[in-house]
Amino acid sequence: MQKWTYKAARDLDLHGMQRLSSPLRERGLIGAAGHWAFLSLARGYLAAYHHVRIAGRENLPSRGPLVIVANHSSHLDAVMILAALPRSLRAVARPVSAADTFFRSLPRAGLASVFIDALAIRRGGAGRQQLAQLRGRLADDACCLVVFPEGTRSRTGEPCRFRHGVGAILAGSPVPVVPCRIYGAHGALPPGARWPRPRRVGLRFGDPLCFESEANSRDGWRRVAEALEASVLGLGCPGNLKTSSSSD
Amino acid sequence: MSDEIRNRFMGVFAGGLDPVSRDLLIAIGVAMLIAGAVIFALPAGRVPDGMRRELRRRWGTWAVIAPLSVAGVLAGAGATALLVLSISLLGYREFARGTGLFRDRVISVIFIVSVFALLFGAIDNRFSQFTAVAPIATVLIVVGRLVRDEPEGYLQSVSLGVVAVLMLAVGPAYLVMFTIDERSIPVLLSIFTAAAVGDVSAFLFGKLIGGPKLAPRTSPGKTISGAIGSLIVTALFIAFLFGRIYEGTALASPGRLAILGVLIAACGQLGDLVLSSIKRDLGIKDFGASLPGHGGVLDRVDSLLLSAPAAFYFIAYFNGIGIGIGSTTRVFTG
Repeated sequence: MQKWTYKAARDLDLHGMQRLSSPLRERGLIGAAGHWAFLSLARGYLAAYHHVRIAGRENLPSRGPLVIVANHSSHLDAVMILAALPRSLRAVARPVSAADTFFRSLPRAGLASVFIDALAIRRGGAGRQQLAQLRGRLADDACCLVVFPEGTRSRTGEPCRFRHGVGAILAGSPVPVVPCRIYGAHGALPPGARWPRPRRVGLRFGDPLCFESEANSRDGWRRVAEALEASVLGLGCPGNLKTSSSSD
Repeated sequence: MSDEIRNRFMGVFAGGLDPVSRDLLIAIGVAMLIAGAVIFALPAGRVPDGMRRELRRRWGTWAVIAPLSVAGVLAGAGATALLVLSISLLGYREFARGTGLFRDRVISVIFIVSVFALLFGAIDNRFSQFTAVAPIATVLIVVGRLVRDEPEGYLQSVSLGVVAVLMLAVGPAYLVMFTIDERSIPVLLSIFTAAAVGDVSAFLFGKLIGGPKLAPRTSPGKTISGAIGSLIVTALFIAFLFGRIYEGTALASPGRLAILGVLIAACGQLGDLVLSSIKRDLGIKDFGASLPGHGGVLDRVDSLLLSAPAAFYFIAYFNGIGIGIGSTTRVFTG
């Protein structure tokens, strides 16, 4: 007879803030319920207040593992992507967020964890070990990571250069990547604004890419980042927004 | 609202404090003070620093959970139910995260529903419904796990779920079932205190006498001398207290009291060994870190999980009416 194998929670030995801000965090029933409730509300809100338009959903696989890579100009971005996913992916979706913004204080970290199940990562190259942990989770968790490779919200609304860290998650990995371009979020809730304005927003998912044959090295990471940047920028506006103001 | 119900829910605020509970509370307070004085006065040179810090942390945790548990008993059936609810839910969290069962959301939901069903049955004095929760929950888990359409690991999830319900929901719920007895306050205080007496005496006898290990692969710290010493002390402690609580009833014969004492003491140690086995199997040292110096909630309540139902049935067998299985006073439902 074979022995049972127990897969304990990855964050079993972590507690409090340490647990919340670890990429290994796994949620329980409370987290799952909070996530579901928040995103159900967010879907209604985005449809009613921002008339959100979604294009290219057919490019999303029905199950994880998956990485979604998008441009970033607003706090609405992560919520928009999560709310746009089909239910099977939404349940396992985890935005990768800056530890210094979302995991600075306990209340913030708690909200980010319960509502959108955000995983913290340190910015600026210090997060090498965390990138490896994210890679591991993708491999055996079938989750859907949402990554913003610009590393911060664009202050102008125009997409910035993609940083190469995203390549460290993807280079040499068989996990598919779906590029996503977000329109209008900067106009609706720019960095520094307190309340969202009733502007239209939209997003488009592109064809999935895969970087399995790319070397897991600095050069490989750079090529992955450049390929992703090009494919995100190449995605057109989903149609409900005027193209002239599309990028703001 | 009848007097009987008011007494159950107001605890000492309605019925007053009986002499056995009063003596127990004084003993608990004195023991805490003496232990605190000894631990904080330990000479720095002769005891290693790590051990001193550990003992202080452990005492500090006791200073929080002892009053909480006592309050949960003294303030009546509702407070006892809250205490048991937190033990069951926090215990399940530790068990489920350690085994990986928490990924089976359906089983977690069934567990929580079972806990509330048990507490309702206990508070509303519906013993037959109370005893039906375990088999019904078992069937629900066996069927509910089908939802995932993932036969791989089916038997493991279902078995873990059933063990969780029996051990972490049904076991502690008997503490609330006790509250239908008018003598529940001293009884519960005695059972809680006996758990601590058992732990402390096992530790002391083990250190003083030493000798061969009890179950070296399950729990390397326990010695046979500690187990036997603790069994005798705890059994005498229980027999003495229950002799006073149940004076003049069928239970109060020396032979029966001795059996009850041994039963509670042995079940306490067995519960401890059961949870040690689970921890060994999972490869973890403690179930959590929510109680500094003790580990998790399960590391603290381990000795109650088996002794509560055992004591309940033993007392009910001899003092059936006293414990109210025959009584039909409903609280929520008429």
